[in-house]
Amino acid sequence: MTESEICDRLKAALPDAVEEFESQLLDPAIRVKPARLVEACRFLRDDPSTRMHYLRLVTGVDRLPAGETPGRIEMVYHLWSYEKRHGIVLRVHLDRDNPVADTVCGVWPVANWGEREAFDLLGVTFTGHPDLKRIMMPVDWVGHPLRKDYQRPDRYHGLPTNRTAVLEQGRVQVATAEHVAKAEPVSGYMQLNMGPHHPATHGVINFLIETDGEVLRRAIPDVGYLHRGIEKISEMVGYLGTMPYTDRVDYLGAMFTNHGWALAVEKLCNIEVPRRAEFCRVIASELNRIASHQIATGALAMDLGAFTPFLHWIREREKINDIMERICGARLTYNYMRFGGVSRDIDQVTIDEIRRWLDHYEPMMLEFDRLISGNEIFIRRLANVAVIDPDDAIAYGLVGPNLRGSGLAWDVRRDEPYSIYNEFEWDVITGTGVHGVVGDAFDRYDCRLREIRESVRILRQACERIPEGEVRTKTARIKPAANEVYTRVEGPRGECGFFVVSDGTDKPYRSRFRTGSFTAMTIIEHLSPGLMIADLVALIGSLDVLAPEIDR
Amino acid sequence: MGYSYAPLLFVVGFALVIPVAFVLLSTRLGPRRPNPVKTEPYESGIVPIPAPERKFQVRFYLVAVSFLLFDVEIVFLFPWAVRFRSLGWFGFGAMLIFLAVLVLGLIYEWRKGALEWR
Amino acid sequence: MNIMHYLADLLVRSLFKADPATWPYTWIAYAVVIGVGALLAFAFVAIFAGPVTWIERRIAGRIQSRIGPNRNGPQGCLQWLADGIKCWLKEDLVPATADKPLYLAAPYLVFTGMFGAFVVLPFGAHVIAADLNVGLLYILAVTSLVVVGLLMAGWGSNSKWALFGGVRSAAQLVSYEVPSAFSLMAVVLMAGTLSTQGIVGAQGGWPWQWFVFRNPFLFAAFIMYFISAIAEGNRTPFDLPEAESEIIAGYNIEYSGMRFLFFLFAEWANMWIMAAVATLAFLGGWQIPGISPERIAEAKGWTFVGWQALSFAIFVFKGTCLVFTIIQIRWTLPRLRVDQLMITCWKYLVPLSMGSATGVLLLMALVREGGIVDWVMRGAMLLVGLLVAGAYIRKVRATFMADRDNYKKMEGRDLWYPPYRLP
Repeated sequence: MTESEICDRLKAALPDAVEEFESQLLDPAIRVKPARLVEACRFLRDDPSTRMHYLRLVTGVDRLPAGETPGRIEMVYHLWSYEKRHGIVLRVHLDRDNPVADTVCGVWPVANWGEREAFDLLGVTFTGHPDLKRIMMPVDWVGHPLRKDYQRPDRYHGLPTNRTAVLEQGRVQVATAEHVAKAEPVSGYMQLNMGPHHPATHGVINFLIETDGEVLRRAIPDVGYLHRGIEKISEMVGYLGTMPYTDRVDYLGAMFTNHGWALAVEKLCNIEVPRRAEFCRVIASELNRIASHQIATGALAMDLGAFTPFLHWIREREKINDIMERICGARLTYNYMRFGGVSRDIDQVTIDEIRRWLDHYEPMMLEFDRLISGNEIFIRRLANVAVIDPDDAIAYGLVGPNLRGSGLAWDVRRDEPYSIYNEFEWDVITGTGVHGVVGDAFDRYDCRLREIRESVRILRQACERIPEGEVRTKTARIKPAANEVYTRVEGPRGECGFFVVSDGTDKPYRSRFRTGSFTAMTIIEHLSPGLMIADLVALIGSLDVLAPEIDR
Repeated sequence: MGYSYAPLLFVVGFALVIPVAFVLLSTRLGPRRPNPVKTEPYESGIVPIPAPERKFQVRFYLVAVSFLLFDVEIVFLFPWAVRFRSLGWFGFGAMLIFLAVLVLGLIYEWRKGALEWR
Repeated sequence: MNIMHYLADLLVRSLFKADPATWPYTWIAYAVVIGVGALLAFAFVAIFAGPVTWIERRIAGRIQSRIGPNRNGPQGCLQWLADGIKCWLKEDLVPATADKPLYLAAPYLVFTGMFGAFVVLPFGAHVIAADLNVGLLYILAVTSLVVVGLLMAGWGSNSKWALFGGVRSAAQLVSYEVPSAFSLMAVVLMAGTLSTQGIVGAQGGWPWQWFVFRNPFLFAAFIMYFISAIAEGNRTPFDLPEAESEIIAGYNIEYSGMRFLFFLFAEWANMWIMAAVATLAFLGGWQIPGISPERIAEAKGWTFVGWQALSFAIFVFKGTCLVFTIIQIRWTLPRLRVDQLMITCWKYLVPLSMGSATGVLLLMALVREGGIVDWVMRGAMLLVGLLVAGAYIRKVRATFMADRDNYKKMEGRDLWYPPYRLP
């Protein structure tokens, strides 16, 4: 169904809910009445003709009063149906001075954290939300940073907030009381912090866990330790200036965040990308995907106590880094993509080098299998652990290998094609329940491992077929007209989406990065009861969450 | 005979004197600058959640009790194993019965689910 | 005849020109010599545990295709010394909320438990500090002190992660005590003694005289003892008490400097003890092939010293091979989960080790030693052992060759340390 058909369907069912159909936007949106929002959402989810079980993105935009128009806060809901392969944007306008909306957590559990973020950064209150509190900023922070008229406080608990001021020596008592209060003591069970400085949490993430001996009663993720406000920064530094910041959103898959951001701006400004540049993008991206999946699978093995496979992957990744250095001059934060192309061409020598490396790497992939995949202890630690069934996976917004591990064959590269991925021969990998049921931790691991092979296939073809030509179109100053766009790429941690609102200036009015790790975190609390501590470690590792991607 | 146990005394002496001396030396050589944050118990680098009591699962007690039983049996079995040849068929039969009781205990524990951990 | 008594007698005879049997001060000489013997055992612990840390790190480096410590001394062989000295210069931290007596005493207990076991290890034909007639039981008893020490460390730190490590290690160590004791009981049945020298003496120098190849049940007992020993030594895949990716560092999380070092020291010493016990109980101990213990005892002068040195070398070589196996297992396998660990012990190892002890019992009652059936069993088990060793060597070699061929493809490119190139 097209967007207007969906709108008609919604109008027919709930005539008084729809306020307006905004078809002028790049992603057409239906504006609904705030009071009827949940009803409309539930209808779109359950109606046999729409069946939008996947809430892709929930975020808000702050609009200052301009002349006659009063200020408002727009909540944006991106819906998608895996079955019908169509999507729609819902939008509600809220009063800027007292923004209140109904929660859609009951419809899609994944909305939980998205709404918490809107509450934290924009000050929107959601009635009926189960756990409405700040997520990125400390609980006692003053103000909502993504409001356009936000004034940053000079000090927070006596700590300066600007970088020129000198940090005083002494103990930082930030949010101590608040943190302790978070865990209301329940007698008989042990409560403790797993993280932020814990070897298994893959960065600074905190899990407040409550255990009965070795068995967890619950594990509540607490994030925000790595929040750098990249979305706020992007409003200040402009479109091109944001490109290096996107590297830092996902430092293991910087090429994908680069790519997504470039796609968003290209779509806003209608910039064509030369064919050779598309090939360069694919080659760089797939190399990056191999490197990222190696870290993910290696780190999972390391979390389970096998240190050696990780270092063997690091050894292979080192070679990828060498190639990357030749391609774009950096080994980790690539900053490679540009609007309308890439920053540098991949010369023939490098392409030969990649081919040669592939010859070496193809048997090397088997080494990892030899090392760990068939290991009995490894299999028993992962098989049948933390099983996510496909319905849960969709409802909690899992994407990428985590979703495919649950048996759903959905790959943005194939199903919502971007760049030139549909020109190559490759397969979408899904979990098959090799050693247990479909959707267990081993399937997620297995998906990543087999995806590496598909990436190698794509790389081979791309290296064969890369045409001659320019790698960059000449672009005028980036100054898109007022519009909104959402683009997505398939990153190593799944769908990596970029929601950009432009207002006719050379800086984005609002941007929101939708990352795989952020939504993957929401399912941990749901899955944790009954797991053992060691299983939680395996779950975190198998979901491949990455702290900077969660916090941005 | 008595002399064969004498080394134990020396060993225990060394095993106490040497580590104590090493630690004393290290307290002399090393710095000593404790502060409240340093001496806080480590709980993943964040302010610990206060816990009024230290509790752990009853499973561990079960393991301890099973161990006690089996270890006492083992203490009984070792002298018998040494003298097995001279005890003849009577000793053999007696110990087989003893072992059978032990096995029955294990089976009982198994069936009761005391060995399950979930 | 203990070598210590022999030396003491020699001392009395040569220095004081007196007959040791009648001289009134013989006990002083005995005490001095025994003290020196104990000190030598301690020196062996220190010297073994030290370099073995370096050796392990170098081996781990090879396994993980990286280099490992190679800065201090030739090939980094003084790394362990540097680490030890560094720990001396570290601050000895005591958590404010710790249970001080428990916290401070725990490392000593762990250390004493480990070190005590060295007294009865027969390093050579007469190289033993004390040949107790309850040797094996003594080892089982004294190494149990370690459990108390670890539990004290976990409880006394008053840190939640340390408590997890403490109770985990207590549960694990006591559980695996049972199968390891049952496996050793099979050996005691065969040898008819608990004395370590007696058990070694009951075997011979040639592999078919070793207990491990005597019959299938003893072979199984050896494997089960080895598994339980790894578990009792807190080594991967049973390193749950110090699983860094689950409970950070376990019981030693709050320790620093020298006290922390004693835990590690004990861990490495323990690895050697387990290997030594397996060697003396199953692999023929120090026995020299073709030379009977009586011939060694009757030898005089330099021949005697030479036999002692050779038997010492054989014992240490066998033990080191087992230590190497433990190290290789550590860097190969992932870790079990707590429930899997306990199930492995109580549902598999305990019944199986009881079964193997009973099996040995039955075979002893039914099969005449030295008879045709006995020899057929020995031959078959030896064949099985050789096949296992052969398959292992073949596998390692094949992997090595595959890696080398694969890396040959990258010749001419600057590669950082191909895994097949040894240092």
